[in-house]
Amino acid sequence: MLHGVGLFLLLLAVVFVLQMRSALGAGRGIALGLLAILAPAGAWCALELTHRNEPPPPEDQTASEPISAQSCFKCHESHYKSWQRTYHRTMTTEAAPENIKADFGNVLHHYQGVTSHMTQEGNRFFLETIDPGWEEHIMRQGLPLDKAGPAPRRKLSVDRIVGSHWFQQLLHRDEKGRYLRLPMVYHIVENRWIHVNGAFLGPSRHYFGQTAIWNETCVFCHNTRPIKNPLITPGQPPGYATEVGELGISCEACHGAGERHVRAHQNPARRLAQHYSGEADLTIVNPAKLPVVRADDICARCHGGTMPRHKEWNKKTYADPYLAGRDLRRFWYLPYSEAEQKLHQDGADVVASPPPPGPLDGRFWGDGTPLTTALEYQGMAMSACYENGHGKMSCLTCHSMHQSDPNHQVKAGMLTNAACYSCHPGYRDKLVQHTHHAADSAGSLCYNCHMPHQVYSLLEVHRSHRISVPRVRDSVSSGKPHACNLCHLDKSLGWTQEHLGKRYGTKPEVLSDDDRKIASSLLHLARNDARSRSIVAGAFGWPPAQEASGRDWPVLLLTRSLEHERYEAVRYLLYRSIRSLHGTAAGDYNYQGTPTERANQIRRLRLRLEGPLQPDQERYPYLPLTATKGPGPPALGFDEMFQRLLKTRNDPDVHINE
Amino acid sequence: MSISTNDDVQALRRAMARRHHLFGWGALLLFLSLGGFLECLHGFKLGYYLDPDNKMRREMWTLAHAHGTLLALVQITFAAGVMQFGRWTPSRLKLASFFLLDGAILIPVGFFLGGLWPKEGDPWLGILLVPLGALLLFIGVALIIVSVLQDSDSAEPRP
Repeated sequence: MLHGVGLFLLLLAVVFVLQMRSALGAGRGIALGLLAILAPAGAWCALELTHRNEPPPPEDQTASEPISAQSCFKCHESHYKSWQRTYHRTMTTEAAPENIKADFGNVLHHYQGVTSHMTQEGNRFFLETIDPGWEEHIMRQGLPLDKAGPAPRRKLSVDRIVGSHWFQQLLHRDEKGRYLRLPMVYHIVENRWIHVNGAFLGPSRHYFGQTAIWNETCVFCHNTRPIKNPLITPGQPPGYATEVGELGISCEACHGAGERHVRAHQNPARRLAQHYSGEADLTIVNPAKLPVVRADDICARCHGGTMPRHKEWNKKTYADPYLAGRDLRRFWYLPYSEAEQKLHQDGADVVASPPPPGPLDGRFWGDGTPLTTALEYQGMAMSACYENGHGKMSCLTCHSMHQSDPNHQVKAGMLTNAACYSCHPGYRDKLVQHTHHAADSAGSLCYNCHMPHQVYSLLEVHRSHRISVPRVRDSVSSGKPHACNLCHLDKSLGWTQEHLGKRYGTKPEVLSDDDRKIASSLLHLARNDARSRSIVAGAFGWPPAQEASGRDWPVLLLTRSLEHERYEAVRYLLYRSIRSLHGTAAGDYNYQGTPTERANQIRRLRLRLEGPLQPDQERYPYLPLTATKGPGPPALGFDEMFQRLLKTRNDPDVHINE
Repeated sequence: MSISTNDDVQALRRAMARRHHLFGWGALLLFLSLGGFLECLHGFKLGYYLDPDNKMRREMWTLAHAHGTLLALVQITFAAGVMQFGRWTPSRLKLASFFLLDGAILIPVGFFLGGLWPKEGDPWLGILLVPLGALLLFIGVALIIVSVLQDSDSAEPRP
């Protein structure tokens, strides 16, 4: 095509020279015509030469000036607009009215005897609560808060916001440049304020101090081109002069340093040459054109639970040395257990045989599967489909940052079996033989069995990114609820084992009597730690599970679980499942309420919902139902069974800080 | 070089007026038709023209329509005025005429071609015709200004 354009321009030049000749005569006309052609042609050649002489960009471009998304908009408007819709963009924002979803309309919130007051004054937002500095001070002195005298209150400005999808967390900037995360969080999904105790899975505690310092860790995954810049004063907590290229996750997070690209492409000759040469543009990173490992590094930077590998960092500025296209492992560790994370924290650089997750690991199940979000990379990397990045699959196989729904950013068509058929086409014709479920049912969707909802974070259960064959062995040893029993909530693990054996010839495991005879969901909710309880509590709210397991009995289990649940996040999921089963009949339940308030609400809830239930024991052989037909309380068996199992409950303190 | 007489220049002016009338009215017809075509694209809501991803095409073709129509009117104005004003030499008249015509062709055609296959924030290569056309149009207009200025300096008899 370029040759055609060249010939066309030549033709135009000839016509022009002929015009000059006609007007000025042969000699003068042709000479002036040629001169006039040479002038723009020479200017173009000069532009060409300028860009041809540019050296290739260096591998380390961390010193380059950050480029804002506004600069990218000039040439990439559609990409800019699709990015603007994403929650990546609004991961961190200034506390301006257009970014605030939280209700600051003079709202009072009562929790643990403390009233917090959220207000707006013009374009500024405030939280008035216990002075976080006072709480910090008292805690540092080791004094019990109840003996420290009346807590002083303080009105704190809200200066930045983290999150816009599930939660909005409030940051207050103090005089040391620290952005302190405040104890009140707005839960966007429910449109309500909650105390931070309920926002993360962990034991409740009385604390209204700052709960994290954004400059310390949050800054690295929630912003683009972060530079921590700690200001050290001996004997004092550090201050910060933190800088970011852009708040939130912006273009440079995935495309690398853009300064050279922007500068080079201001030259129109460079742009034309790039458009039509078909060669890779060395001034910018296109994740789709990178090798799978390097492309996935970009996502793993924040979705891989990374920890800084300090020896490669500038100890003064703590500027993130990783930029898209570089080797992530050179600058960040990608741990596969909290134990491994601890080794790195203690200074170990290379861990020859990483320790497996411990029984209370807050990030990984015992079989190594990630149990919380921001570890999607590890899940994928442990999958047979991934083959250590040497296969075809990468994050971008199923996700697209620009052509997708902002909610989960899954590519069109990838929420169907088409995603798996692209590598496993053989299952297209034998789907039902493989799944033993109706072709149009949830049981025939590949990801429901191979990527079940075994991940907890943000008061929600999410799909596991470890694409795996569901094995009974893994659930027995790790406490990880089995994929089949996250849908068949009324069935036991023994039932699952029997069916898997018949259908797929899997080798049976030795199971306890309870595991064989009692519904797995009941065992998890009564006996297991809060990590398993959160997953099962969330599963009861999943419509395909309600369809498969029946809707006339779960409330018996969920209300009893609520009565004995000490984790606020699990209480929320239990109540949400009741609400999804019974709608407005569920009434109100404040999972952050006082024990008395909650007890009264559960009592009313049971009176309303349990009376009309008449679950049929024949349909639910793995549930301890005593009343099969006719009137009468059906819950007696549940109470006895639940009490028995509660005595063996393994309920240590666990924390999932996502 | 032959020495041109006043009659030669007058004859040339008449010829140029006719040429620019013909071109101007013809171009006006063409670019008004293009306007109608663009209206149809709006009317039938064709994604090729209206989708957000095709914003560059929409902009380029709108510019082609606007510039083509405006420059057609410039030709008609020149045709109507060339007999009325300016102190012309045959070469200057020929050059001004050529450059006005070149501008009126290259600019709208460049915009139109630029919108055919735009690439990521840039129009197609055809857009290169626009600066060339603009340069020629600029010189053509400058030549007209020179002729008008000289006309006021002298007492060339009007036809």
